[in-house]
Amino acid sequence: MTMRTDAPLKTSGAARYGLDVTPPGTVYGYVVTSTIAHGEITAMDVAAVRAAPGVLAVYTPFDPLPLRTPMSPLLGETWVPLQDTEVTYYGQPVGFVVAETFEQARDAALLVEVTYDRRPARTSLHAGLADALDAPPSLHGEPPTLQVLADGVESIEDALAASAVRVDATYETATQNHAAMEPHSAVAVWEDGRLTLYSGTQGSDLQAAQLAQALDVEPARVRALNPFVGGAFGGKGHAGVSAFLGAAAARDLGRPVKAALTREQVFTATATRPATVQRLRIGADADGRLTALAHDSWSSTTATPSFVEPTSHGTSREWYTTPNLAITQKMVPLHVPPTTFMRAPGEAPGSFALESAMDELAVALGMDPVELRLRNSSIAPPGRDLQWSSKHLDECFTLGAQRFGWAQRHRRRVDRDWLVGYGTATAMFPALRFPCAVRITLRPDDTAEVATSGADPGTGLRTVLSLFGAEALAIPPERVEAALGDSTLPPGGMSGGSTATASVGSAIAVGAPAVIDALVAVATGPGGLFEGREVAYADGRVFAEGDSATFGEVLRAAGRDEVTAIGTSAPGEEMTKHSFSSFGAQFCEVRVHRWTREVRMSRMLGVFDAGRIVHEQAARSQIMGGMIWGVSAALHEGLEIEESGRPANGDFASYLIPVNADIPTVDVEFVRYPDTLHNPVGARGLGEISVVGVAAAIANAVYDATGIRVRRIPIVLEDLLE
Amino acid sequence: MRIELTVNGVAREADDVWEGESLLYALRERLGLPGSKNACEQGECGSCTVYLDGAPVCACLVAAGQAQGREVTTVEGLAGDGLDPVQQAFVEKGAVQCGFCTPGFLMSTKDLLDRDPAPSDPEIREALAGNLCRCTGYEKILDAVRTAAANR
Amino acid sequence: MDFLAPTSWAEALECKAAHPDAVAIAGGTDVMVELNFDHRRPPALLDLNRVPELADWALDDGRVRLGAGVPYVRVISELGHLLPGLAMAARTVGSPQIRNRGTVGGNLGAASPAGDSHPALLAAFASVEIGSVRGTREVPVAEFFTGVKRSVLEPDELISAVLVTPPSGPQQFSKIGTRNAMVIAVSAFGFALHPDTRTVGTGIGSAAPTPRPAPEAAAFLAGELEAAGLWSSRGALPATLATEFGRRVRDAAAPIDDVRGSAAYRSHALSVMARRTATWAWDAYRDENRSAA
Repeated sequence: MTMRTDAPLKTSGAARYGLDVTPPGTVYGYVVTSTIAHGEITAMDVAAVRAAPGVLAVYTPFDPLPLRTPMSPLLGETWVPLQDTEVTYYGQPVGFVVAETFEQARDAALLVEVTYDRRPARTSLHAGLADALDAPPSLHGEPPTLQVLADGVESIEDALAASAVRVDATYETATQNHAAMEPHSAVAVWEDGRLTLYSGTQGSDLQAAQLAQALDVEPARVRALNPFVGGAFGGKGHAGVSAFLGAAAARDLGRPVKAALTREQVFTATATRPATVQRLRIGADADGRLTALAHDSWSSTTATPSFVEPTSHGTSREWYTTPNLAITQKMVPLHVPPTTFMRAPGEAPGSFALESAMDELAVALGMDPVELRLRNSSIAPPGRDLQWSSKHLDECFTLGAQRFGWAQRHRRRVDRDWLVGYGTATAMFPALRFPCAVRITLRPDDTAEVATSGADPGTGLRTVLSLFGAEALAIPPERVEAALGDSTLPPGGMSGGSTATASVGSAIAVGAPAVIDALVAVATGPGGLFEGREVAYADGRVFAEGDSATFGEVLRAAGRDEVTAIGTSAPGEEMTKHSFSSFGAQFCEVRVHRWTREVRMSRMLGVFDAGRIVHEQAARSQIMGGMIWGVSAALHEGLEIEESGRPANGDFASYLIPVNADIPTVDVEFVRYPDTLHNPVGARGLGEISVVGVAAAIANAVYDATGIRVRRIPIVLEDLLE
Repeated sequence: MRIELTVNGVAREADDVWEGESLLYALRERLGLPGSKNACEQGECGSCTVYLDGAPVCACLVAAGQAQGREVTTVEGLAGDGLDPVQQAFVEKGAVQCGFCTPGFLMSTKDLLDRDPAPSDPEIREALAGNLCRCTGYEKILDAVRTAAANR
Repeated sequence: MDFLAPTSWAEALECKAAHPDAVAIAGGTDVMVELNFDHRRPPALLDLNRVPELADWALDDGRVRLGAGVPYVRVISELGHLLPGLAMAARTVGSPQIRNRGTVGGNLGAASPAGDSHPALLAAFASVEIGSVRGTREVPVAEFFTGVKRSVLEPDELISAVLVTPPSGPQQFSKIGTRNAMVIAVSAFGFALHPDTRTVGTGIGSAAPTPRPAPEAAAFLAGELEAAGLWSSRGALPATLATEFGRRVRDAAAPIDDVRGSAAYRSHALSVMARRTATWAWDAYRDENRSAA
């Protein structure tokens, strides 16, 4: 197998992330954040700040850097700081101090005196449930409230009432932060009216476009570089405050500016996954066939509503066959940090509710939870006539059950001081593509370059580009260089939504024949090596009858530096023919301490149907990472926001994510059915599906071990007191 | 203040060091060694792990002045010619994802194998508990540590 | 800010007397976090890393004198037999990186109610040796803490050592957290049997404003053991006695709800830990007799 092409640089310490660049003359910016959750800033006294050693500038809403609100088709509006005096959450950026050194900037920032006109802050999702608002339409453009009822059925309540077996339960999931290891940061350098921005982001061209709009400069005058990104998970889609303030201050001061959020600031000054409350009502007949499914969802969102966690539309809308379906999605505007998409937005917390409820239904029916899921597997989303293009969820479950030893679950299991339980859950995540352009270049030294702006936030996209390029050009991957993470390359869009592999693969499938055509034209054209002859391309060579040459030889003979072509692709006609999703079956074994009630993972297995697996190592890493995210969601992480709006645990000592010692053996298996109905390379996304269902599988296993049903994550010790 | 120390075998000095500054900041911003990463500034994540007189420590929790006259090794100094066997194993096993935690993991792994050439899985997991990976490539990392142990 | 780097104990005390506002820094694992997070900006740092008198431990007049600058990693590797409870606690501190730097002296200086050393030191009846240019004093650990992150240390004083009598019986330490490592205790408990004096040592962590012993519970258990002749007979610890001891330890705590756990859970956990550590230690005490025989 080809090794990850980024590994040597990352292991030698030579990979340069945004903040690792220090141009000559660099000065340092420090963001000042609000200490109230709601109100207006009436004054900011910065005299002492300006007088502090090394301070070059202080920017506030009263003395702001000019920034305009950028708008993009993919991301919508992006908030820019310091443009008004309104405070709508604790930890909101309200100032920016630039000094010769970081410590000077931070020290000086302590001296800012802010006067607020405080207003009452709404910070409780529970308190806001009663007057929640309807959420905007779903990703599919469907209204937030949606019903599919069988003929003759008057209401979902009627359908539920007529069901032989019913479950009615309410679940809660916590606010979460992406907590990528690399804090949001930027180094901004202006030269001759052109900005170069070094900053980790999920899409360099999107970053450049947002900065150009915000700074009101020609898009061609902004170059965003992100060759290495220290994790993103949805949290680096929108350009961040470090980038906006760093770039604007660098322009104002005529000096390169380096700006990074501290870890504490990351928890408020970037964005979070919303908290959710979800009520599930499921009805089934005595054989376990669903007769009615109602999923009511509430999501926290910002005071001026922005991102809403689409828990019901992301799960119950599509997962199971049911004659009667009712979905609602509401939002509760709060004075809390911004909300945005985070790994498996909708599906991750939504699956905790749906798959816990399915487990409760299995218990009520006295049925094997695996059997219940197999029995209700959907052929198409209810009420939609587009069938799944390629669905092998049944195989995931049967293979997984066998491999995991699921049949052993009925034994009463106590291992010394530990109660042992098994749990399972379904995982699904839509297969999507984004518009994408990839440039393919053949070079005289018989190497090729595959280039797109995009980003590899750790997924392995850089390696995948080389592999797809090699495959399409029929040459060894070692001869294909990937260029990525530079907004001046053809627009590759965003590494997000588990789309990148399918998107670049589709574009390369278009671009490779085009560059080969261009090569053939060079070979057969005037002065070409095979001028006027019939030729064919194979394995990196151009073949004429009785003769052949490598593409490098063809280019050298013609005196050409390169031939190049750009392949573009976008989701299209296939969307009118099928529904697309990846599928998976999650299994886990947990141990709950009989006396102290500590919960520990002891085994995990995920079996996934994600189309073609392009790079085994990177794919397994993505899947394992997602499954461990599920452990984290179930047992560790949750941002607690106090009544005042202040996060109670906004640092790595108290916002817990699992350490190596918490993670057991993680077994991953794929069923491998390339989905060429979705895209020519047959790969569907797998970065997000892996987290889906895990938290429910764990809660279900905890129930199996203890008989205690915990309907809120993260599960805490006191939930399990008897 | 001025500090003088040995970094990766080379005598280095830095001027105008602020007295409360961390060794991590001095390495990254004053000595041109950004391989050690800053991700939490409270010793929770291990991204900044370096050796101080041969022992792995979080550089964010060492005052730069405390490193006066001491020997520091960073990820940039881990390899001699070519990659160290630990680095090689991380490459081979694909034990890198975003890569931000990787320098710290390498330092902790090398220290572990120097102390215990054949650690058990639980010992590996415990020894690496001070290094957070949010991509959570813990399984591949475990593979890499086992491989490095076997190859040394 | 000044950076003071004394190279002897005498010089360190002079520095502290001259700069009472200086913050002592040893391993830096607490102090640097406060600096990095801007929670404090002291006028001076007093680096104790170069003070040789703090850097070692020795047996001194029948007691272990553990220099305040000895890192946890050495407590674990060198003192498992002399300070078993503390060595057990040290193993649960942070990560290897933290254990390479963090010190028991620093843990005491920070005086956090969640400090891992404290329950073990309390149970072992340890004392803190404190120095200043005015002289040296010794304070029992049970009297050292005065409030959340507060202690009896005067502005001109520094901790020089911890003094502990080597154990005459088994010691145990138990700590609960939601992770398997890198855990700040939800609650913790230290337990020691002192057969030489027929007493019991206890230490509660993370369940009161300060680390504290449970003297009433300890006296109850020691008394019951005495009354039943168990110190001599080394008979089994009755389960009901262990449970009642757990209950009394729980009642000695004053836990609160916080982000790591609820008061109710902490109370439950303390009663469990006290019951279990007492049982483990008593079983070890019985085994000692068997292996000796």
